[in-house]
Amino acid sequence: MMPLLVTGLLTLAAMCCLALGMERHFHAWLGRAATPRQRKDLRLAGWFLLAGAIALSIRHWGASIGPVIWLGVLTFAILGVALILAVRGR
Amino acid sequence: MSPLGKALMGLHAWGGMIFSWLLIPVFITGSIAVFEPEVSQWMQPELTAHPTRPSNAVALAEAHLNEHASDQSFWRIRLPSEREPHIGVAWGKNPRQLHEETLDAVSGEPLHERETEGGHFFTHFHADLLLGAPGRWIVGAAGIVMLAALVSGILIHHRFFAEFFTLRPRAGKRRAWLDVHNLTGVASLPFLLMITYTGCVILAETFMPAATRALYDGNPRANRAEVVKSFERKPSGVPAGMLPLATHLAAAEAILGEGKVSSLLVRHPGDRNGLVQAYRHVDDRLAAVSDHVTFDAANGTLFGQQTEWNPMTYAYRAQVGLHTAHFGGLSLRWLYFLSGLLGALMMAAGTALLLRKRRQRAGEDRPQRLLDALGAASIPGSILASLAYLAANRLIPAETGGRETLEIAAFFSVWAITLIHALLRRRRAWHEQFVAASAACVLLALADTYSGGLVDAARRGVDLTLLATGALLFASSRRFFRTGDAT
Amino acid sequence: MTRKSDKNVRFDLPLRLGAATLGGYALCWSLFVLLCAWLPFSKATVWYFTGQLAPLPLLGVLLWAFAAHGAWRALLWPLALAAGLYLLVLIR
Repeated sequence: MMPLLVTGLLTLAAMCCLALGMERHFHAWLGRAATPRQRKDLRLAGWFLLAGAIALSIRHWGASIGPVIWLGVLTFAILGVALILAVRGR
Repeated sequence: MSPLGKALMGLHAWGGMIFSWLLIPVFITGSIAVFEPEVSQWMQPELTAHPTRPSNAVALAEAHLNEHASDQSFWRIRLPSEREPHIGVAWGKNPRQLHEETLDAVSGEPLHERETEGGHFFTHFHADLLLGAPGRWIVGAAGIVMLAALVSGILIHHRFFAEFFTLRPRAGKRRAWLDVHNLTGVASLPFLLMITYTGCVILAETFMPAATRALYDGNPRANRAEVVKSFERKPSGVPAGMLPLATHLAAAEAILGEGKVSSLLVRHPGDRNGLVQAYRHVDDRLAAVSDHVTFDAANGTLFGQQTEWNPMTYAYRAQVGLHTAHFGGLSLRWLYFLSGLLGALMMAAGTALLLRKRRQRAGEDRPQRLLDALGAASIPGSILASLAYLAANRLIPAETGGRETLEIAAFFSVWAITLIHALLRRRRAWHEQFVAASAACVLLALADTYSGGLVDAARRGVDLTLLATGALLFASSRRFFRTGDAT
Repeated sequence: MTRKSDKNVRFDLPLRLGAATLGGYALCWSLFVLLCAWLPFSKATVWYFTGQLAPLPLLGVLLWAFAAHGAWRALLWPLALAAGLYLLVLIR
């Protein structure tokens, strides 16, 4: 279960960065506008973390099973970020 | 919305809703089917779970078969595994119709577990609605419509990326349902496309026999016979002693990998031409293909083996494996289980949207009442039917004859009752059925816990899942379906 | 939301449903027969190849059946295509 947890947290962090890289979510979450530079950095960090999560799952589960598990994890990372944003964006 | 999306809106909404009456139960039972052995364990409290070594298990099985089936042409032994921690033995004259028994993994004693389809019922319903080939046509058609609904949904969703993470539970009801529909659909899109496509591939063997007709004169098993090597020979009629099966198991593990043998098949035990065939687990590879080796039963020489496959067959079986999810362990099973339920939630939210829209236009006319009732029967109704199947397992005494049929009858009668209830109670039925399902979940979990469910890991898992499901169903019934303003 | 442009609105839906089911099935069938006749691989390789493709023609025609302008067009195109593919098999 440990590798699943690590992959899940990495993917969740990646999705948080990608969401914050979007203007309306940054504003809803942090209450202020992001500079274009910040948004770009956040998106970059998001893709970087995402790549890390894929690499980790391939390393642990192999090249055929790893991506399947990672895609499964991705679903719940997206839902997790949406729930965080829904709660924060009251 | 793109013009193409606009043209496909009718197909997406109406095709999606009509087939969701079938697809939602298929998704729910399919999700449960991921945990088929665990559900079977829950449904057969007589089954024991003791850790053991494969060689011990094989020796116990061999002793049992020697005692009860020495004159039979076929023996099959399923070795205990983490998920099925008992020995399965089977024997008979016809390899397709074997008499089966389950033995304790340590003592080798028969467990005399109650007669039930167990978790397999959910797999069976999921695949063909218990109707055989006609059922596979129906589910296959539903699968193709599901694929079309997914593709058209992407085309219709005009703000796919802009609303990627958007969920506004406090917005208006239409907005909230639309967000749930879009978010669950988008988030689980890779899973939904994969599971629906691979499901259609599996069923196409039945509903699209064009290649079987063109290549094999319509003989449905000929394609398999061409790629799965068979190592068989006729019995000689001369009796001969066999090497202990544990010796064959050790030889098989040397080729297939230690601890990797899932089952043994003995052809013509006690005959000079007897053969022992060992099959490999498929739980560490995507493709559902089982490598196998065959030994001469009497002297242990290698008679034949297959560890390499036609690459196209391997690719096809990888699609089958992706659907049946024997690989990837517990992590993957939970991801599949939850993703499948998300798919059902996505369809349920879509149904709620369309019912709401139609009601605003047409009011409470007769068709609307029927559509509402069918929606209720497919969503909370099929959950209640599944719970009734589990409850029947506990209520029908273990020694009752034909009890497995009664359990299945409980599923379908409760499902029919939910439809009648929904027709009579109109929109209030949604709330009532959700509350009933939530109560049933909690009652089942508590009843099992207090009747010894805590000792067994699989049963504990099922009970905890039932409790969590009950809590979720109750919360959603309060949030979305109170006072009949369901949709 | 069926297209109103079609003159015969009454038969619009039945024609499109016919296109999706009959048209899709016929097209998939003749495509598979054609692949079985033409592909220069072992029988098993061809069988397991077509098996993996099976949902695609059915899905494509189903989408076409509801996206096409005009219900007759929706029905006739897949049927004509299926017939054409089948002719190719016969020619060979």
